[in-house]
Amino acid sequence: MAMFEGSKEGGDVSKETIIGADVTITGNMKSAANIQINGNVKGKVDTQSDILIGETATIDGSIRAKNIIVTGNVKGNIEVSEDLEIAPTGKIFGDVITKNLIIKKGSVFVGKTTMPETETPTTDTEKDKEEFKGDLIDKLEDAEDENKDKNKEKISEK
Amino acid sequence: MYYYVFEQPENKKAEKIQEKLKANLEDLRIIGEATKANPVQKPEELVISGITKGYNTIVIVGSDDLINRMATYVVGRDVTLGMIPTDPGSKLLKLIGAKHPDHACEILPFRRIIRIDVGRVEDDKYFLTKIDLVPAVEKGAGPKGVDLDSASSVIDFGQFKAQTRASRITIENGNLDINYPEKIKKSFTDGKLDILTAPAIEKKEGFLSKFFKKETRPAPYTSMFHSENFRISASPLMAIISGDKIIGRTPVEFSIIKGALKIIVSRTKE
Repeated sequence: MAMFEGSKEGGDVSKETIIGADVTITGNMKSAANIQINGNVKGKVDTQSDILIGETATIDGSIRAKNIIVTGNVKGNIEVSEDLEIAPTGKIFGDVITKNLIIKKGSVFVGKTTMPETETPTTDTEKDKEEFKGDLIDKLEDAEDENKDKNKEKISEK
Repeated sequence: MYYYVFEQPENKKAEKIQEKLKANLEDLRIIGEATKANPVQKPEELVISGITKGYNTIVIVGSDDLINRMATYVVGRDVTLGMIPTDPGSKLLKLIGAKHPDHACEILPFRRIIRIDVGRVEDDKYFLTKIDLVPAVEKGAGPKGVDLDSASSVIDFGQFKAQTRASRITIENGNLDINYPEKIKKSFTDGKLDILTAPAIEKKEGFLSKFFKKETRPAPYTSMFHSENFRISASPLMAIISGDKIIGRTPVEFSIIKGALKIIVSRTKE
């Protein structure tokens, strides 16, 4: 999972929000950067980047992010555009919408999962097959038309 | 022309350093009017005097704390701030792209000017680098069982509030703890203040602590937020400290003024 890429050297760690275990948040948080939550949150959390929910964290509200790792407690719905991972100590009580879901042994998840369908990509071989099939059909149709024309000519000659 | 304000030297060693810097500035032919703070004339009075006289560049020669405080008197005026930080291990040297105070002198003649953000405390005080908030109540006061080394604080960001029992809150304009010049410059022009909170210090008292007094280490920061403006309230009150001076108390409102200060930086600072 390409999580917290900003944490690597050269990334924009400085704009990361970190909520300590001793902090309680009330209200709706919105950010463009990564968020690390180790405290309590009563409200919504929304970011365009990633969220790490620490073991000491409890969240009572909905969460939306690109990637999320849950090692604490979440009571609310979660919407993730890429990957959601529930670690062994993680607990989610709520519905989840995510592209990819990773549930580790020991974790708790009570809720519904929705994983949006994506188009199945075709390989080159399959594409070639389709094209060959199409060409064959065209040729058969052309041959059929030719036969029809020839029959018409024969009938008209008679 | 440049107007120099030298910090009152604490000792003879500091005085010698200042003399050396002055000689360096004369060699570079950028000495204008040089003034030195003293018990009668405070540095802020000298800065205001320089601005009143019409100088368009004020150069502060002294500690990071002094330069941080003097920014208050330059903001909002058409004046450029030059700085020659003299603290050993000064962090402001990183901001201007200088390696040491002599290098800071050499930067001045080239006048490469950039605009940086400035932090504002309420309506009338400003800071360049950082402000600290600490519990204001003296130890020993108040009822037993009350922890006077921390304050129950609320930081109101508008859409949400953060509540914590904090032993210290630091408001930073930019990040001088990193070593990437471009990132330092970016952190002073990003239009946001950084808020760091440290929790209450855990005091574990054992049998021997009755006989030996130990200095408690400050707790490390555990939270970090970023915002353009916010309000902090606390109980008990927290003092607002710039360097070693108390400039106010909670409740207090902080905000950022984008591009409010012109400073001279190194030409190679990219």
